[in-house]
Amino acid sequence: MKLFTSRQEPAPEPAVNVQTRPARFAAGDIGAIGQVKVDLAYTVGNTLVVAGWRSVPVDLALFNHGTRLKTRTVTVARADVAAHLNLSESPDLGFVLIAEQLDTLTDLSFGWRGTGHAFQQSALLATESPDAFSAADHGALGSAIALFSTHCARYSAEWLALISRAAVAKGTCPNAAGFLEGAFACKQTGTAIVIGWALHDPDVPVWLEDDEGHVTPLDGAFRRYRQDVIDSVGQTFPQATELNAGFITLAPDFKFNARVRLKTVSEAGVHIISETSCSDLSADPRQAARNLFSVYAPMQDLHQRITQIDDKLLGPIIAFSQSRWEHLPQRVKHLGQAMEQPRVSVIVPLYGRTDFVEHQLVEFARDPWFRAHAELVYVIDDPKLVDSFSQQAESLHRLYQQPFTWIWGSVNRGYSGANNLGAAHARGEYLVFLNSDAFPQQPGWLPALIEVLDSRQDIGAVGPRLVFGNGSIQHAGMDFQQRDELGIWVNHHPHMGLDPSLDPHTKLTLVPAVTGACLALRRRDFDRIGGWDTGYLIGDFEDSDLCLKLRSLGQHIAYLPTVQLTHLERQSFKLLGDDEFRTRVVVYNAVRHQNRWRALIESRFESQDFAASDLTATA
Amino acid sequence: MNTSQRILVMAHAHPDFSLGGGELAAYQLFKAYREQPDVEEAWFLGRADRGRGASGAITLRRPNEYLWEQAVHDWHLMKAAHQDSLTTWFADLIRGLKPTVVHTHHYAHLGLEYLRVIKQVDPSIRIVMTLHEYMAICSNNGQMVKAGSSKLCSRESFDECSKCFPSKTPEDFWLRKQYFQRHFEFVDQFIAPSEFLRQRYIDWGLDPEQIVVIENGQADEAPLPPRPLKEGETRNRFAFFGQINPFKGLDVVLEALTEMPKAERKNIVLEVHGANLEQQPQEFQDRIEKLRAPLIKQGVVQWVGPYQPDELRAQMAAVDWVVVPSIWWENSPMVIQEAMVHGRPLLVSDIGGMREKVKDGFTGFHVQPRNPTAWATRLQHAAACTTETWESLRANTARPMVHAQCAKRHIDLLMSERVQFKEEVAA
Repeated sequence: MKLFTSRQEPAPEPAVNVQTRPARFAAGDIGAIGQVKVDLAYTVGNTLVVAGWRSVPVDLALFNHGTRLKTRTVTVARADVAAHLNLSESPDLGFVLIAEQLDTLTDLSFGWRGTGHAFQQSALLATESPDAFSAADHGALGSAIALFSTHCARYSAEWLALISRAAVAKGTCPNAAGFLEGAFACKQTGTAIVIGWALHDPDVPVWLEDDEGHVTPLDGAFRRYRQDVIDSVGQTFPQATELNAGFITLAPDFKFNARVRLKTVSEAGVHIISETSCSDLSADPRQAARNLFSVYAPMQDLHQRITQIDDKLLGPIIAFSQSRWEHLPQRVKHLGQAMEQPRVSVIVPLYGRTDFVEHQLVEFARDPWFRAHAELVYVIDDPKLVDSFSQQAESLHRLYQQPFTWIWGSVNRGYSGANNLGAAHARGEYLVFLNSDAFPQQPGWLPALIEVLDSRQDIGAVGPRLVFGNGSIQHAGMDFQQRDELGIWVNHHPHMGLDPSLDPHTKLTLVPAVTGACLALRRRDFDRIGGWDTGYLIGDFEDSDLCLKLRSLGQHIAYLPTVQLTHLERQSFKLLGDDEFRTRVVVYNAVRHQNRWRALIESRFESQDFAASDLTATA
Repeated sequence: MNTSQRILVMAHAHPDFSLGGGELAAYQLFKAYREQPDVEEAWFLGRADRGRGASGAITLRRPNEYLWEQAVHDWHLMKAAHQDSLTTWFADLIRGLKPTVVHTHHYAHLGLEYLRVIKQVDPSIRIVMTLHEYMAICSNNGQMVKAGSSKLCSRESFDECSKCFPSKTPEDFWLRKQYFQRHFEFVDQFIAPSEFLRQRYIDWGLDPEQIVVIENGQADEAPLPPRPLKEGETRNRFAFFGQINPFKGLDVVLEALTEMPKAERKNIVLEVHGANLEQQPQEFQDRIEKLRAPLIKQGVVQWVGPYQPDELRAQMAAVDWVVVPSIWWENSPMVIQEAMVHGRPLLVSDIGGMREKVKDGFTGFHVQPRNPTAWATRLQHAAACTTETWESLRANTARPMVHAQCAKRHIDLLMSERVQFKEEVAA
């Protein structure tokens, strides 16, 4: 037989079924008897796993057709065996032998060897499949149970079951490293994120888990390159395929205060690489965004992270913060005699300052058409303004004798929210949304805008030309520009800063979008599209979003250059490219905007196609 | 057709309390209106501070003269402090008096809102506004000099004005101009005491058709005889009349005297008549003190001090020339008109209304503003003038319009407008 070595050995004893009862052997000491038993023998794929126990240390081996196999050994604590043998709690009585990459799975046998003797082979092992492990089996396998996880679908129910039974490994994990830098969960919306880094050998599963066994793999995480990690531990994992060690991931099941662990598994068991607790993520959108955006991502990749992570976290938080709006009290004050049937409602949100109101009244008061046909609605969107405006409104009304309504909705709602609140109280057949720092230059502006909507049913919204205080163009229609370095499309004002005589449009023109600083549309269209979308963070893109909603329903957006207002919009404004909160907010909103309207934004707006529709608006 | 007028004259002060040129001109015009045949009634409403702040109260000072305890709380926009009285007591006054014309001389301390209120009470009331300085154009006290450096400024612009007032943005200046222009739309007729000022307002945006030049009227007094000269004496006595403040340029003349060689200097005497030095910035007070002390010691400068308007004639009698060295675009300084009434030729800065009112070498002399050397030369030149030259300058000076003539000019203007206006209303 092949087993025999060149030494002259006594003939082997008959094969023992070491699976049914322990086999005895002479242990090293004179007269000492050792016992060995196989409790489990499994094959999974090309791997043979044999688990059992021995009462004293002894060499063990596995054989296939009599050939000794290359074997790994894992020792396992077996309290049951220690009790049975009446031994004191001696660790590691158990063993698990693993032989991989077998050619055949028949003629498998187990052998043991006391010192100096040849291996005693067992009878052929009867193997099973590990499909139905029992609790006793788990005990026998100890940490080696984790091995079997590699053979089922990662993160599947059975995988989870195996992992949950594996013991916690001691000592450093040889095949993965990582650190959890923070975990945040919003109590009110339930969404959570985890931030950290992880570097590991290929095929090694690494995941996040809480106390309740909820598992979040890192597969869906947003990864980024971490030079610091590569510098410190990169050498340890030269095989690592995923070099973007940094991660930020959504963790849908983690709750506030949950203990979160970064884990991996080897045959030594489940390793806890790092742990942290889930802190509270503010339910205030602005604060949550500040926290989230402070987690670094290179600016050119931020847009991807936003789609993958940030939007899914902040979207619900934004929605939650607005869910209480409908239950909040609204203060509505009418000054002067309200008009019976206003043709148009002019809605003006106020934030930060109210001194513009008088300057608007100065214009409206000298506009006979306005006084005869328009309803004026101011929406206070800033708690600091309420008290002073209350007094100011009375005084202004007495002096200008222009009736108006003002509304306070208990909280700051942002541009869209404030506009929607104003619209809710407006009774005009047409709505004109006007910024507080936009001032008509002469009477006639309002009927001219309405006339466009009256005469062209295909037009959903119309906006006039706006100029800065120095007379140069501030708005002559809007289009979209790609900012490749940020992966976003932004709204753009062509011809801005130029003398109005250089505006290429002199008549009613169809454009991709118009600004919300002065925008007119029909009440019924406004209702049809559900008003202004309030899901943007703080504000931005809301006007183009409204225009694109109208366009997606088949309507056009128009620019009327023959009507001009002054818009004092500060000429120094947000610069993209600065690495700060404000820029990230712009990117967030841009991503949200383009994810909704990509097709319309990217389509080339052929203004020459609409040349035929260039019509002079009749006053 | 009833052509008689009922005129309410408004000013930002009452001469009983304050003696500035603007309120004096307004008050004198009011009195002159009352003497006009075509004026049925005239009243005066002057802003006053009666020691209890801006109560908004309107009180009767004496028959046909009212006071309004109003103030401006926002000087950038010229907004009235007491808003309530605009649509109550002030509106009541207008309703009660039923003027055909409100002739206003100012909005400082009053605010601009009253213009709107007048038209709200009765759109047929005509509003005439005499502009006495450039406050609508320039936030720096209406003087059109740069804040800080006091350099001359020719034109307002939102960016430039913001540089003068860094706490205000260019947009704030757009808002200011919008507010002023819209309130000026309530004015039917503008009066400018000088062509220079008229042009500045046209540059700013007023319709040239809407603004005419009418000089302020003066007292009906005969010119003074020349000062009697002693043996060998020349026409070497000069006088400065006015507020002792940085804009009036007295320090420039004092410097000019200081610069002169002693021999020349001793030939000249400058009398300083004026007040309020102690209200000026310390730096200016110190400067004046430093300049005048040695000159007073040498007898070159005689610091006379404050004067009452009725003392002016006597004081002018004692000198040969009147100097107006202002460093800003004076519109129509009263002292120039008074010197012309009293027959005293002028040395004036070569800018603004001063340049317009005095013809260089004909009725007086021009001097480059803020230039002590130029003033030194001119003073010496004037002092060395022959009597004949001096006499001819005096003779060439046209007699200023007296109050009655001034009032008539205004009435004629109103009458010519009135017919036109009535047609517009009827249409």
